[in-house]
Amino acid sequence: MTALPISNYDATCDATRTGWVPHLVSTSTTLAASGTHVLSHSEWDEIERQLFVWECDPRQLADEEIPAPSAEVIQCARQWARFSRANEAPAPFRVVPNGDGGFVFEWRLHDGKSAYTMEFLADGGVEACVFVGHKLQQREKFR
Amino acid sequence: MSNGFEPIADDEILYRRIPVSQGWYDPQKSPKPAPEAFRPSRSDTTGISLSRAKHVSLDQASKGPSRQGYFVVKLRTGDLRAKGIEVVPDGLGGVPGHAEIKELRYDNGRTDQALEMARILAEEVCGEVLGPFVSKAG
Repeated sequence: MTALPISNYDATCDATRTGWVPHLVSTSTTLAASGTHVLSHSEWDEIERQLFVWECDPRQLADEEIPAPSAEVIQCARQWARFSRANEAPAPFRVVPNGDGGFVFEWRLHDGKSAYTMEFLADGGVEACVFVGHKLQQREKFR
Repeated sequence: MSNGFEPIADDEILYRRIPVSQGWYDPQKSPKPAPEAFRPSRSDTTGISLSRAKHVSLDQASKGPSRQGYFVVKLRTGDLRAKGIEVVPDGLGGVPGHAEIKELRYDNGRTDQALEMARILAEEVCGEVLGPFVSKAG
């Protein structure tokens, strides 16, 4: 598995300097060339719609001891989703709360074993992981 | 003596309750829940919670404070142990039929091992997902 080319992540969530997206774009290109992947606009539409709904009312995600994400975390996730889509990254398999005030974007490769995650943490940090099966192969924290 | 605190046998079924509100289970996307459903929350100071089907009914296991209700995941103890995940009954003074995975706690929930363990639980040992169960009382 190649190293994640993540560098210079801007603390103000400037997605234009997020190296993760080029990596995803590269993956997407590879998948598209092999005929195994199609960029799904409807899936991205649904994800952006869900993030918008959560931004409008983060309390929907507060439950039991689970805190709602802050407006800043949701805005960061939305910004990054828009940038990823604009750079033709494939839509993630799912976007879910992490149960601690953050979000996880997860992509699945068509090999059925590999998964990439991008996690937006409640403290403003961002972390990317690569799993093969359940094994964590790589992990990088932006800040 | 079977009082809810006796050791958990490999063939025992366990229930894990996951709130509907978080979207961690979407059967249209996957028959498996998201790994986040098995991550420790802030209250999981001694381990994530499970209920022993031998002592806790499905109806009891599905109840909780969330107004949107819960899904209930079935797991088999032997399957967890085969993957190196130990589950133990609640300690003395605890709740009968309550069990914990003590290796998954809030204070270590972001370690590599914890992330992997959550993924094993969701992807490899997770059984049937039941529900949603919504309490009429809200």
